[in-house]
Amino acid sequence: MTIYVQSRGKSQEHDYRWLEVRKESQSPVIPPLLKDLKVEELIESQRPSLILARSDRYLLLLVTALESREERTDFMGRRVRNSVAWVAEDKPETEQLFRAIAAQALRGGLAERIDQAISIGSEYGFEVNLEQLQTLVDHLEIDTKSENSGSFKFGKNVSHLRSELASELSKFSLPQGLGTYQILVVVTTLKSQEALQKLRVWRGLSNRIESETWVEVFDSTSGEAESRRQKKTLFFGILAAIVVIAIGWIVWGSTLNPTPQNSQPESRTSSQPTSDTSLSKASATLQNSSDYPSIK
Amino acid sequence: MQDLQIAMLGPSGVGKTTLLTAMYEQFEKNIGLTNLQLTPDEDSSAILQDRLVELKSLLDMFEARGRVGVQGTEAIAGPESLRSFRFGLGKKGEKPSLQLNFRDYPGGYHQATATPEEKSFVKDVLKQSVAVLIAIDAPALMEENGKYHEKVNRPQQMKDLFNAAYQDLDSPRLIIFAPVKCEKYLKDEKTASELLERVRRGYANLIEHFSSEKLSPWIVSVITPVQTVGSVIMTRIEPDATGAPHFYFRKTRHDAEYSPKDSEQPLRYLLRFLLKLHLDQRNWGFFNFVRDWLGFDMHLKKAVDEFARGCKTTNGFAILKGDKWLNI
Repeated sequence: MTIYVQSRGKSQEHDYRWLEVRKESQSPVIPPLLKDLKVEELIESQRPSLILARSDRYLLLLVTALESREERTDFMGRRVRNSVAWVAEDKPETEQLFRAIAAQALRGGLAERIDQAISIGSEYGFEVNLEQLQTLVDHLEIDTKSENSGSFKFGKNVSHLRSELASELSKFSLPQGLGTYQILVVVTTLKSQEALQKLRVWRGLSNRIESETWVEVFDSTSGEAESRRQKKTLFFGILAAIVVIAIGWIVWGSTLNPTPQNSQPESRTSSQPTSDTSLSKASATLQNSSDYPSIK
Repeated sequence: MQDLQIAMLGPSGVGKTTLLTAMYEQFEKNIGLTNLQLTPDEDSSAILQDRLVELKSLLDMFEARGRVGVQGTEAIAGPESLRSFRFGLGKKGEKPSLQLNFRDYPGGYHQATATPEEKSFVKDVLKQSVAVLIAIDAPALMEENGKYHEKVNRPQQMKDLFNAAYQDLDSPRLIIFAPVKCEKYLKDEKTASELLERVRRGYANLIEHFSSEKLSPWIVSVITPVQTVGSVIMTRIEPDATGAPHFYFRKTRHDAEYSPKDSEQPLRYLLRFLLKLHLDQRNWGFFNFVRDWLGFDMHLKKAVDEFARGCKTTNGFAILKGDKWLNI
C-alpha cells in the first residue's frame, strides 16, 4: 500500500503539494491514479470530499480538505487543509481496510488523527509521520464481509446520509463483477445526480442533490436489471422463433395441399389472420417488452 | 462556440482567486444592465458560489481575525487537473456565442521549488491567453514605501514569466494590472494617483519590457484597481518571525457587508479590446474568429459596445500603453 499526503507549509514558498510517504523518504509525487481517474471532474478538492474507486488492479481511497489544527495556517493566516490518498492492489483485505477508513472519514473521525501525523518544517514545509498513519489504519475495526445489492444510490451530502453510507461500507462489501463499476463512492460538493449517474457512481452524495433520503436507481445495463432484461429478450426471441416456424409450417402445408378453385378468398381473409399480421403483432410485443422503467 | 482564455497571474496569496470571485459576483449585476448575458457553467458556478459564501462569512468573523482571503488554490492531480472557470457570453435570451475561460492556478507554480511541468503550465497559459490579469497586493505595494512589494508581488518574477512566454508574438494581448485590497487608496484623487504611480514604479521593468521593439506593437496595458471586498480598509502591518508581513484590515462600519467595487472593469476592458479587434478586420492568429464574432448580429455588437464604453480611465484607472487597441 502506498500513502500520499497533500498539505502545505507556512511560507509562500511552501505551497500545496503531494508527498509520497515511504519509510525511508518523502518525495513530491502526485498519485498517478488521480490523473487516470480524472478526480477533478468529480470533486472540488478544496472542499471536504471523498472518492473510493477501482482502476485496473488497484483500489484508491481519496479523502480531501481535512481540517488541520487551528495553529496550522499559511503565511496569509488561511487554515491549511490536508488530503490523503491510499493506493493498493485490489484484494479482499485491502477492500475491507479501505471501506473501514472511508467509513471513519464519513463519520468525521479522520481529520484530527491525520493532522496529528503531520508536522511543520522540512524541505517542503511539512512532513508526515508514516508510523502514525499506519497506526491509524491498524486500529480500525473491519466488519465481516457480506454481499451488497447492485443498485445505485444518491442523496444530499448531509450528516445522516454520510452516517448511513458509513454503516453500509462497514457492513457490506463493494460491488463485484458488475462490469463497469469504477467510481464506487463519491462524496462531493460539486456534481448533480444526473452527472453522478452518467459517470456510473455506485454511491453518491452531493451538495447539489436535493433529496435528503436515498434515491435508488436501477441502471438498465447493470446487475439485476441487466439480468432481467436478458431473460425478457431471450423469452421474446424464442416466441418470435416459434411464430416464424409456425408460419413456415402453414405456408409449407398449404403448398402441399393447394386450396380448391371454388373457395372464397374474402371469407378466409376475414376469419383467419394472415401470416404478415401475426408477425407484426409479435414484433410489436417484442418492441414493447424493452420499455420498462429504469429508475425506481 | 469559440473559446477565449484569460489568465489570472500572481504569486501565492496576492488575491487571484479573491479577484476572480469578486468579478463573478459583479458580472451579473453590471452586465445585466445591458442586453448581454454572462452565464457560468454548472461547475464554475458551484465553485465560485462556494468561494463567495466563504468570502462573505470571513467578513462576518472579520473583527476577530482582521484578515481576509479565500483558501489557497491547489491542483489535486497536477496542472492538467486545474479547471477553467467558464462563462458563456452572448445576447440575453440566446445561446452564448463566445466562451470566456478564466485560468486560476496555485501561485506556488512560480516558485523555484515548482516542478518543470508546473512552470511550463504557467508559460503555456500565458502564451495562449488573449488577456492576462496581474493581481497586485496593493498594501504591499503602498505601505511603508513599498517595503514588502518585492517579497509579496514578485514583480521581477512576473517579468521573467512574460519574457519566456511572449517570444515571437504575432497578435495583440491585453495586460491588466489589477491592484486588489485597495479600498484605502481609492478614497480620494491624491491617493488614487499615488496608487497609479506606485504601479508604474513597482512594475517599471515589466512595463519597459512591454515597450521593447518586438513586443511594443502587440501590447495593450491598463491599470484597473479592484476593491475586492469593498467594505474594509488596511489598518496595520505585523511582520512575523520570518519577516513576512501580515496585513490587518478593519471594517468601515460594524455592520458593513461584502460589496466589491469595480470588479467588472477588467471585463469591460476585455470586451472593448475584442470589439476593437473585430472592427479592425485583420488576421489575428489564434483568435482570428473575433473578426466574425460580432459581424452577424448588430444587436450583440451594440450591447458589447455599450458595455465596453463603461471603462473607467480616471481616479486610479489608466491606459498605460497601446490605446489604439482600445479606441472604438
